[in-house]
Amino acid sequence: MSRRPWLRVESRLCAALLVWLSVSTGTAASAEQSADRMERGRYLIHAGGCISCHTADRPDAIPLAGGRRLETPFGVFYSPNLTPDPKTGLGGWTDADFNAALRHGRAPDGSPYYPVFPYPAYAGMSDRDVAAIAAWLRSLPPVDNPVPAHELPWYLGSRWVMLGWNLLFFDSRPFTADPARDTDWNRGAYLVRHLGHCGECHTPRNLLGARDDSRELAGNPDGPDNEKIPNIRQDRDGGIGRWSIEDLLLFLEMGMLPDGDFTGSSMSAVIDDNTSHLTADDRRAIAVYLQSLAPLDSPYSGAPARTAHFHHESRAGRHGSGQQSAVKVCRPQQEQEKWQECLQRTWFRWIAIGCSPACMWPSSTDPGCKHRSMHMASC
Amino acid sequence: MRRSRLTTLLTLATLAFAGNSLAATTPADAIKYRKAVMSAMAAHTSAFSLISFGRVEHQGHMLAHVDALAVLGTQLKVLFPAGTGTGDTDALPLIWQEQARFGELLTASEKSTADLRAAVAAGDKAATMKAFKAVGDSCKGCHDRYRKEND
Repeated sequence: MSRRPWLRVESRLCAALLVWLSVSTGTAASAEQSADRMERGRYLIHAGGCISCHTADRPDAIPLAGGRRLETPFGVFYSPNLTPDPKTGLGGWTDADFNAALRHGRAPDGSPYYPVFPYPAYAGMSDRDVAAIAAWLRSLPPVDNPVPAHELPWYLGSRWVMLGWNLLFFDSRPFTADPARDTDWNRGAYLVRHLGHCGECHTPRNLLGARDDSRELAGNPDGPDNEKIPNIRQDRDGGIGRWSIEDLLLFLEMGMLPDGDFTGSSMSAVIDDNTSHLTADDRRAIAVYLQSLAPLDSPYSGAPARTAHFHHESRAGRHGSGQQSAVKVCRPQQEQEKWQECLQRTWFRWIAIGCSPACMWPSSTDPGCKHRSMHMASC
Repeated sequence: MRRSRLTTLLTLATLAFAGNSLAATTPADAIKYRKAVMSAMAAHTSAFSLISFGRVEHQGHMLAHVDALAVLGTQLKVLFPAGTGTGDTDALPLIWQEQARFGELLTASEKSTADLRAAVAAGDKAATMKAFKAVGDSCKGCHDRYRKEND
């Protein structure tokens, strides 16, 4: 009996010591973890290509404070401010908010984002990467930078219309490694398909603007800012089939094309803000993954990835010589090409490029239809 | 006397011919020439990179390529005369709207190429790699702002 209080005291002391030990080692471990996580977050911000879109296109723009104007076939978007400013940025965002945004395309109020924000690609990101990005963005100095409202057609005026789009097209499954492939390939697949979201520009879109992953990276005639985005599959002429892995590595590191030219265009921002900051191993992983993609000819003949004299050849080659033809009714082969081109474009562009809406419905893919009504003045 | 008259005549004829041929430079040919010089620079850059990244051995050729780049680089400033912004060219009108800035970028590009030449001449591999990246950045910076890409 008399020893009991001692026992109690002793056991309390022990418990306290245990608690103290676990707390102190815990904080040491988490401090280390968080330094690690911050560094990882900083790296992922590059690998995720956040900077190119979330920084305004002005020399004095503050990185990640938003405001970049992005012209798309669906309207003009202005990227939001990612700094933790409470009024104009992401002040007060929790890990759950970041997770919902990056992997489910939802704002903290539950409303869906427009897929100009590449959440369909980010959906495959790992928990660890999402947490690291969140931690790093929260550590930025807040910048008060209100951005203009998007300029969209009336039927896209409310973000809630994207709920239906998500039901149809959004796949929120996380990335799973393919055990049949090696580590490099899997890392490359993760970087290309998810984090780096290469397909958001390089993969053509269907009529409703969703990525057509059956043509992964086969080129996109309707890229952002009206650019034609090249096919980067292994076709020897239309794609990058002639590029060696060293060619690819050099391009991702500094933007040099195999013929010694240096890229301009939106890819130069991707190289400056993203791929040039990656580790050599990650660049190699991307190259390994890209080289594993079977050739897939792009249905339109514009913008092949450049080998020699890209500019002159592609200009001359696009749509054949028919562009200058005065004949109003297309010849069968041109009809076929035009038809394919129309199919690859969103319907917002049909009128501009002279597609015939009568034959543009998915049910009308029978051969008869395109010969009947693809009489296009522009082909 | 006769001889000097003949010389004068010949000189005048030559001058007239030269003047004529200058006046006859069409914008289309000026664009063609610009492209030819640019392609030549690209070819030297490609060759240089193959050597500097150890993909081919010809170390002894490096200086020749970088010399060519440096010389051609100083010619770029006169390759964008007014009137050559339309036609078969990817040069953007912005070049002629902000001549000062365009000129500054070309000067910076000449400087980075001179640095590359110095690094190669000194046989400094690390400095060569660094300078080559800087040259690439100067090419990319100009193309990004002043060249139409992918239509």
